[in-house]
Amino acid sequence: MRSVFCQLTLLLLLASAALAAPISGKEPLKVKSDNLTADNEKKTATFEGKVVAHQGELTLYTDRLVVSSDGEGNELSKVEAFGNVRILQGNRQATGGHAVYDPKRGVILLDGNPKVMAGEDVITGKVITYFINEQRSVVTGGPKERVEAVIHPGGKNVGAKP
Amino acid sequence: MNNFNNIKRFLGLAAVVASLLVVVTILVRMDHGVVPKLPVRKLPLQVDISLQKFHYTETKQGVKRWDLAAEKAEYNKTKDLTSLTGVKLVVAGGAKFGDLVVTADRAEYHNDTRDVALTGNVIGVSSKGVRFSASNVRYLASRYLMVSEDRVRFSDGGNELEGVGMEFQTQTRRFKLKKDVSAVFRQQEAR
Repeated sequence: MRSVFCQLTLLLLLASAALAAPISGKEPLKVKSDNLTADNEKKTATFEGKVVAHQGELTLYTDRLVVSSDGEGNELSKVEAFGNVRILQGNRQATGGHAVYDPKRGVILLDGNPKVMAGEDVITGKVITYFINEQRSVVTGGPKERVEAVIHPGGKNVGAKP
Repeated sequence: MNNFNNIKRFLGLAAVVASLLVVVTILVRMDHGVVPKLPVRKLPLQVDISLQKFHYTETKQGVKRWDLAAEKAEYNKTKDLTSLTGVKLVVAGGAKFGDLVVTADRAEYHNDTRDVALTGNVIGVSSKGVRFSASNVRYLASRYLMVSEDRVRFSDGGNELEGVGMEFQTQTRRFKLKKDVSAVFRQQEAR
């Protein structure tokens, strides 16, 4: 049981690193796609077709990406990915059907059968949420899985006995 | 007596000669005083009317839709189009969107459709700060639509969008980039 929890904690740490580190930086978000539809009134830019987004070391692949901004300075308010979401950082990978990054709250949410993989290790759940500013992740299980975890990556008790 | 008659003849002749000289001088000076002809350049065969400082306003039900101004305009009656240079097209967007100002080196205004084909350094700037640039843009007046098949670059604050082929709806300010899209969002620091 202890070993299983340690493995779970390690995987959550990896998931946190894969999802959080690059987006929390100030580096620009770069996007490539087949086409783009922008609405200046709603302040959204919708990228479709082989979408690839980069920020720092993180790469995100998806079918459709909607970038929303607000305020006078067009500050990014939300980045939402729909369909075949795949997030890569080094050899770590997170996948799901849908992902939302809220830069104002510093939260990334991955759902739609989310899965985080590091090497041969895999963790799944219903929703994976990462709170960037608090450096903690929550994995929520579905009715059958009942999996839920909260970790503090910077904490001194990481990997310790439960 | 004979001498006196000679003097009279001489004086008479001198008077006639002096009169002639005066007339000739006046004629010569008048000829030199004629205002030189203006160097009016002959219009090319295909140009029927040439105008400087062209300005055209399109209104609909009393509301201004757009203004088209140019440094020079040449009208071709056969093709029913006007070639413009030094072009400025202002599309009114009302209080909600403000004006969209598009400048270009040249343009062709099609009198039948009222479409404007802009070429050379086409730059559009909206009152909200959105800016686009392309080498060719066509304004389809009936659809309030700006289209381009070329590479188009948008910028809005620190954000940049680029792609090939554009459809820009001037009344809603929605736009599409059709292919080969790339974008850079310079994100503010997360709070």
